Amino acid sequence: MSAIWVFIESDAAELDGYAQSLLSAARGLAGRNEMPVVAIAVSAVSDAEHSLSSLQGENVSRLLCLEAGTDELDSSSISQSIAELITERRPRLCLFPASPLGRELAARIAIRSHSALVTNASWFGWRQQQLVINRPVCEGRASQTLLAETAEQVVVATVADGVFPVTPAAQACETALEKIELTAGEAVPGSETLSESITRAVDMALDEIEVIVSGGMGLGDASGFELLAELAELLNGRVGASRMVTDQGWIGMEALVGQTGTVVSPSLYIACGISGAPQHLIGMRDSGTIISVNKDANAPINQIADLVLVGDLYDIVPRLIDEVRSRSSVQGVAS
Amino acid sequence: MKIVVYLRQVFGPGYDPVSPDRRGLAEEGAWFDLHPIDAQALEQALLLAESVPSTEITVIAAGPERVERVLRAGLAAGASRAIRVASEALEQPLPDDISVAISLAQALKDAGIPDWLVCGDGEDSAVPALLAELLNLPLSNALNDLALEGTAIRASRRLQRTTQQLVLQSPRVLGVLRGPMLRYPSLSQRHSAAIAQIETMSPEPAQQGTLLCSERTTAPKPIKKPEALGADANQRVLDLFCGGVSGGGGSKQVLDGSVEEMADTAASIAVGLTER
Ligand SMILES: Cc1cc2nc3c(=O)[nH]c(=O)nc-3n(C[C@H](O)[C@H](O)[C@H](O)COP(=O)(O)OP(=O)(O)OC[C@H]3O[C@@H](n4cnc5c(N)ncnc54)[C@H](O)[C@@H]3O)c2cc1C
Ligand SMILES: Nc1ncnc2c1ncn2[C@@H]1O[C@H](COP(=O)(O)O)[C@@H](O)[C@H]1O
Repeated sequence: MSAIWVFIESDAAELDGYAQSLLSAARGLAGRNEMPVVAIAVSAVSDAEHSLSSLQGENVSRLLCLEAGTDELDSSSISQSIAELITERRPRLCLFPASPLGRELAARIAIRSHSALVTNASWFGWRQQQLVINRPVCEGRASQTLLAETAEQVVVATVADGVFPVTPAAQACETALEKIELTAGEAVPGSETLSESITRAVDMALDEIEVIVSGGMGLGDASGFELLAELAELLNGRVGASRMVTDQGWIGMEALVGQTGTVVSPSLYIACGISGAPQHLIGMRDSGTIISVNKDANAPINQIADLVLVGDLYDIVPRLIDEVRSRSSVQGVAS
Repeated sequence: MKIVVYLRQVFGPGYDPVSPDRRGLAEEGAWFDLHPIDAQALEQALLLAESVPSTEITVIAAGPERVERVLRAGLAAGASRAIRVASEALEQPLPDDISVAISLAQALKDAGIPDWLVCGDGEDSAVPALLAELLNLPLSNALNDLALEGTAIRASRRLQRTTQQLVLQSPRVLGVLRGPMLRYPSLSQRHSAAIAQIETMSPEPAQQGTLLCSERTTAPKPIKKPEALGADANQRVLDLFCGGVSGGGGSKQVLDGSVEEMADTAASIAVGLTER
């Protein structure tokens, strides 16, 4: 019987939230048509059992485990194996994460298996037996509805992280393990990895960061940013700024938050000495928790803040740094 | 060294592309722009080219005549050759990625495969990988900070939680996530670009992709941003540390007492939020 396939990228013993979200999407769609959900994973020889145990309770009927002889993931041979499996077994839909690897596999496999390709799918449904897919287009300004041409057409789709909520499986079934030897393709020369390390907050763009500590004219001069940078680093975040401050040249334009800068929505936004002009608020009002440090209890930014600390930032921020540092060393939060 | 940069034309900022009846796309009266990531990828390519004098940069775009505007922007910025790929499938405002890639790949085979095929990359990108597949090239996507090192390119590659430092050999498709802002051309550069020749190629598609029917394109439903820490994390932390001020939305705390108390409360929240 035709199935919904999900490519699981991580080979950890526990599924991450992204994989759970893809499986939830697949279950939601498969359930409405009484189809099985099949997972595909790539692992080094010993990891198949890991992958299998991570799928417990996920209502996945089968795990197709592509076993590579080495740790080197070769996207071309993975694509070839999955494309052959698709051509042979014809699932209705094959989901991939929109990660760098997922994007590459989805495209290569769609071509090799003569499947249709949809990026960034946001909704799946059936119309009789035909697959219906929605996806945002035009930078999210419109939503496109796509329809499979026949009930047999295979669709390969990528899905961004967090688009489908994680829902627990209503039923559970035994997952059959099927090991498939990955046929090593001809080695593709020309790419050497020199090093790999955890991405540091300073290397991320402002709109990817979970914590931003912003400074405004209340800092008095450029040196105030050293203080804010210290706090930001403790919280694995980055420094932001208001326009008046970037106009003064106290910090570069890449730090500017607001209408003419970056629009951000971190989990935590700490505004220090920022009055909260509308042009600034537009850029940060969707942040999770907003803390404002300001001498003026009536500064406009305080109206949208969750916590307002009224006082001189040069009194409060050093103390805050001490407090965060002492808690972090106990709880092991920051490096 | 030969570099080709693939440029996309998108609806300009602030333009609402959904037609007045909210059921399709409206091109009439639309304004268009170079895709912002492609602009950065182009700047990245121009910077690479500056260090090797004989480098030739070609910009390529697919679509109706209106896409010549982004090609002229590429010429003004410093590209020496511009190719527009035209076909019936590319006339519509939202052509299928596979159709676009098949036409582009065919045109590139005719025009000559470059050493580096540079594309803007992003979560919704498929064309860089499709081109790599169709042209039988390796792909390196999610790249930042490209620099030439001899005949190789050194770059960093952003994965979910890690960053790789890579050395890449040509020929290759490069998917660039971010780059520097595109330079602002001078008046004379813009003038020469405005009158420059743009080649049009209408390749016969050698193979037919399997496509989906686009049924309709409508206004998006408002999306609620999922909070990274779970929907109620902020509330929980505030309740925990601010003495349970809660209720219909507004849960603000204003502290103007001692510095110690303020720092203590704020640190609890900050550390609580950054903890996983
Ligand atoms: C077209 C246009 C676009 C703009 N775009 C942007 C934009 O993108 N982003 C942006 O930010 N702005 C933008 N602006 C500018 C904006 O209108 C404001 O001028 C700017 O945001 C104010 O910066 P500020 O809050 O740092 O300074 P101020 O308004 O001067 O506020 C300083 C604050 O610091 C407090 N303070 C002073 N000393 C201390 C201390 N020791 N401790 C604690 N608090 C202290 C004061 O009470 C005050 O609230 C734009 C303006 C225009 C016209
Ligand atoms: N083609 C469709 N047929 C039926 N319901 C749909 C369709 N597209 C979207 N929906 C509904 O609209 C919601 C959001 O769709 P969207 O934001 O367009 O992806 C989905 O959760 C569905 O409930």
